[in-house]
Amino acid sequence: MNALPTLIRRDTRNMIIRPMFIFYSTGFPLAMIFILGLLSQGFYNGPLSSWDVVAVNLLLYQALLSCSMSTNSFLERSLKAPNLRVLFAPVRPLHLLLSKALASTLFCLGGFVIVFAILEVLGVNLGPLCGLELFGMVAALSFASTALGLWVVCLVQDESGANMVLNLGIGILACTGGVFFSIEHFGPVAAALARYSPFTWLREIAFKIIWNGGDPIGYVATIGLSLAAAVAFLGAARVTFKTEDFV
Amino acid sequence: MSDILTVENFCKSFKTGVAVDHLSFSIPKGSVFCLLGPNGAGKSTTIAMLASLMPRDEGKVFFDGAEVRGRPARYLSSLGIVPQELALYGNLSAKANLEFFASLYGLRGATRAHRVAEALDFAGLADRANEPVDHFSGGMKRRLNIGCALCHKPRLMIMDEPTVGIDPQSRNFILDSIRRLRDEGTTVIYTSHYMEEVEEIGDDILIMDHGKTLAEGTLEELKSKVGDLRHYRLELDAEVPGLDEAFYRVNGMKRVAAHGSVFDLESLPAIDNVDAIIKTASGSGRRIVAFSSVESGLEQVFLTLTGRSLRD
Repeated sequence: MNALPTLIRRDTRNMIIRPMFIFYSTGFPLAMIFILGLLSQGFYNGPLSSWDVVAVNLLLYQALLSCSMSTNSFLERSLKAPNLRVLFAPVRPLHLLLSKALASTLFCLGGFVIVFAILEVLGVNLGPLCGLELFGMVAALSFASTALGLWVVCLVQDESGANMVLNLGIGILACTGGVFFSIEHFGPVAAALARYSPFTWLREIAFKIIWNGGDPIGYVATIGLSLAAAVAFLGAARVTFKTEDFV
Repeated sequence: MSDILTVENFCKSFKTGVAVDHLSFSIPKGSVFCLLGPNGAGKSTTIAMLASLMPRDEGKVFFDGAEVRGRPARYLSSLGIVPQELALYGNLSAKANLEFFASLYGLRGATRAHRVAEALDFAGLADRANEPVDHFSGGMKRRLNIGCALCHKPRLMIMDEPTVGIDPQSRNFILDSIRRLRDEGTTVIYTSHYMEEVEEIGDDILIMDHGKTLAEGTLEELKSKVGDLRHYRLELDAEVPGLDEAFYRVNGMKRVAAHGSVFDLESLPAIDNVDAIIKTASGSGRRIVAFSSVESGLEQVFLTLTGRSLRD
């Protein structure tokens, strides 16, 4: 018997009924875009508005933060015991993990649909086809991030500890990539960090999609690498996940 | 009666030490098998290994005569496991919890609805089926925790201390429900450190400590292990170091166990030594707070086997 669809449905519903999760996936990015967009108004010339730049930055940042959703959906205090009870049934441990990753990704994508729609309505430029290409990129990153979250939570065996580690890592990535402000003018080291930050690479591809007619190789590479990373992280999570550590 | 489950030579060690040490037992079909031991005796580790959640260092499990390796679906489908910790989705209703856990065993449609209704009845929660579990009392949650393990009609129920922290009414409800399960032909493994519960429901009892079997048998068989010694409990108003040595000098005294200011004494029945016991206690200079003759039970069995109280 394949319990995976049942598990995915349950996990997705568990997230939908939590107001905090909904705020985190929709209200938080919109609020950040609004605040940073206002603060950086007038920084850009020509067809580029501060809203466009900030929106791309924060959508990518939010995709990377999807990991918090999978760590919470797995080991959040009120969910941990019933989630692990699933293993008393004839359910494969891999399915338990896969369900968390897929449900978290689905939930995050639901949030992104709402955020993209609101940004489109507000006239923010998200690229062709109402931002569909950018959405594909964000979706792949989100899946990789949820899988990473699962791996880390299996390693740390604690949701808050895993979130701390992940938020720190993603925060560093975001700062070096200039999500909140550019660090290039802080000296040559900072400039080098910014230049080689994976976040800068992601943002460049997103900008090309929106304003320069796209970067097919970069786009496919991003999606391909994200999916490969997701599979690798899930594999690592399965190897790391020892049921005896959680009972 | 044939055995539904046989455990041979279970061993499990952690970095902190040996948790289960060459444990073996067999459980006849349709019986209530109790694992009794103090906290840290290795009961939950044994359960985790039986549930295929924890690999064993050594040992074998046979279910219905067939060896269990890994996590075979047929074996897991035959088990209903009630964990010590409440494992329920608090913001879902009782019914939704039961439906979800029943689905994991492949139950669908009308069959699932029927089994969920049965489990709600069994747990005495039919009239609260649609209420969120977070609104329930501790006892109701415990009952639902059992109900979630029942929907798929397991042949072997494994209950890990299901009465921890609940009111006497819910505790009685749970003990009654275990008797009902046995009457319906379900085999039950019940772990506890409450002797009274085990005495009440256990057909076979295995007393364990430090991962090892201390004794196994029916309540009567276990009681016979302590012989027909007389058991007394004496309490002073304060601890008296060395008084246990003085009690040993009383004629007929076979065993003395001191727990602070409380002494458990075992004496030969043919010798009338109550006066001597009282005199020895009074001679310590402390006041006697209580003195009673204790009926032979599992507490005495444990005391005789280990020299300490199960509650220590």
